[in-house]
Amino acid sequence: MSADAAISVSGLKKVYGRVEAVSQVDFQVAPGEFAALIGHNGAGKSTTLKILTSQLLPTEGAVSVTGIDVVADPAGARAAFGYVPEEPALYDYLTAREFLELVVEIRGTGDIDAALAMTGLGDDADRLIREYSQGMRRKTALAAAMVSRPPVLILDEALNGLDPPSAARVKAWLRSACDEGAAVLLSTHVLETVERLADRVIMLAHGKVVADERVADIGQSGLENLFLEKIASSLEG
Amino acid sequence: MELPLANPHLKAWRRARAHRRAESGFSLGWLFPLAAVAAAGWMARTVLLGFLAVDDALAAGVTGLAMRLGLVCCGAMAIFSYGALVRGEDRPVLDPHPVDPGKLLPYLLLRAGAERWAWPLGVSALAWPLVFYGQPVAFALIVAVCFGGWLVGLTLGFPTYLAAIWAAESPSLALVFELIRGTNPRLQAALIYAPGAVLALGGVAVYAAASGAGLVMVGQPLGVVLLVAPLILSALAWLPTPALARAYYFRTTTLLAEVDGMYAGMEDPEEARRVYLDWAVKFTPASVRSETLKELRHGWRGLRSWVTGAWGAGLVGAVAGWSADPVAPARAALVAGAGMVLVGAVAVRLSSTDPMWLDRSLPVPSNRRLMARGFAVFGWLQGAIVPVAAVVGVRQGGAVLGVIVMLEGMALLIAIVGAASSRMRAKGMLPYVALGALAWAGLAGVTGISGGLLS
Repeated sequence: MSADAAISVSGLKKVYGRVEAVSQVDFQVAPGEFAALIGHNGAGKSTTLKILTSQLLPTEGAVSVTGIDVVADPAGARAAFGYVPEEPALYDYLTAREFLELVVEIRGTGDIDAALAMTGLGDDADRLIREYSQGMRRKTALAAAMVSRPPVLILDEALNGLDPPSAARVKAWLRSACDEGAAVLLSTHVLETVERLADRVIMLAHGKVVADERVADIGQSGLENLFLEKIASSLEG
Repeated sequence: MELPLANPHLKAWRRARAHRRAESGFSLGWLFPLAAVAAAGWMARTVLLGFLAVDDALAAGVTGLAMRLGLVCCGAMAIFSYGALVRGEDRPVLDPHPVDPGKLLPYLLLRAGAERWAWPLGVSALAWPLVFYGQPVAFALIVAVCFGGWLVGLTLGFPTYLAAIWAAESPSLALVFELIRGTNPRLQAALIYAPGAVLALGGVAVYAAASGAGLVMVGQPLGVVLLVAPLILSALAWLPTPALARAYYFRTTTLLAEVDGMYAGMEDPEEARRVYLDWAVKFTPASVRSETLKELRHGWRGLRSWVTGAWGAGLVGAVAGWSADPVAPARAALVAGAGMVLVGAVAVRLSSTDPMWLDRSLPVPSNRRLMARGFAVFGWLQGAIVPVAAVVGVRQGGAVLGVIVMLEGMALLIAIVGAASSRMRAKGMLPYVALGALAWAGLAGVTGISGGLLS
């Protein structure tokens, strides 16, 4: 495990009863790196992200964020990352601005106006969240994850449902956050997003890492072919 | 612990309450169930206040009634504090953030208390006829015991549930929980028993307070000391809570995820398709058959503990009826009837979780849906009747017919009231509680009148 890694996952295994959700998962994400986590449905992406964000305990293995063990110090780890779950929960009877104020007070720092501008929520920030569409709720969750500019961002299918201008703005913001030293781990099914944004792709199949490549090294065959090939060989194996 | 004004969670909660009020306006809706409970108290006065007709039984009667009503408040708050701390709406919202449990817990406590402040008033309102019969002090003492039960159920719940997380993860207790877990995952066992532990511990304080009420009635000063026992226990219970919260608040999230994951892993597709009572739809009219099946599925999959709770109510009623005492059948019917009113609230819960968009995009005639919901609730309530009927049949023979007729009538009434109230979605809970309380009081009146017939 590298002491410098923003995210470090080592020998990760998670078993529910007789079901092995993930096993032999090892990867690291460096500060300033944008990594994408891809895999088929049920590959173990969400389980991995839940363990990384201390929503779930690993059966075996060590997981840390900016060197903080997420099992031993869940509060410390949470301060180091911003996290958008696949189905974000929000307070329906607050406005987005009020919700972000709460998050800033919890985290002790943050720029609410910048977060609202980044997600394009500005005009709707003073409406109640219960009136929001799914896309607007996701924007609010993204703004909450990013408002205090944590050194690590962990996003589970977080770009789904965003309108194209908002998605473009968020992607640009994520890229600039990486350029300023933040590490981003994005779980997604959209391979085009991975090819355009990510530095690295980590591929999971049936709970195991089947590929961990730099996007620039994937070559002419493309990510989709690599993905299908790895899934097929994982099934044969 | 900081002053409430500096607490970000309290600030956000105040804002949310202001928005909610601005949207729904000022409401006196809570007066409706309070008035209904008061009416129920009048209708059931011969059952609840029978001690007034017996010489020298006032102090003992006040003690007994205060204890029972205080335990209801304590038990209700034990469940509400579980909801606030363990499975409440705050946890998923705040889980991604580094909350300080020392700030979060006072907010959760105040919120759970503020949202249920009317419980002790509502429950003790059942005893208001004491004032009519010239015993205002007795009534005031019962109100005090109910508030004691409410407070101790609320404050004892938080440290108990946090300690339950420790217990669930403790290797030295693993064998104990393995033995008592039933078909549930072992990690869940401590949480399942925790509300019972709150009720048992809080019950001691309620018992002391109720005994104190009795002593005050006969002019013994010691009674005042016993009366404040819930207050003392609540203060003591809160002492270790901040430390427990820092150690186990976050572990609660991981434990719940573990339990949910184990359930998902155990579920086989065939089992997921099976639904309790699905065979019963063939006895319903053809026009509502498919809707009834949907309601049965919805309840079984989304509100299973409510659906199976009817059997719990029936078992408690059966325990109350396991006696050769001539009043045992009436007692069993009253206990089961109270449980049926609680369980029948599932009808309103069913509609409050219905997605709005589904109603708009796939409109089903509301009469058909409500009738189907009524059939489903009536079917589920049979679980409360069967154990009581079995026990009364064994112990009292012929009295069982009267009990069955009364409880089936009660089930029908609750099914109709529940289905009708569910038209109003979550807001239907107020009329449901009010009408349910009246239905129970009616049952109490009938058992009081027909006690001789039953035995």
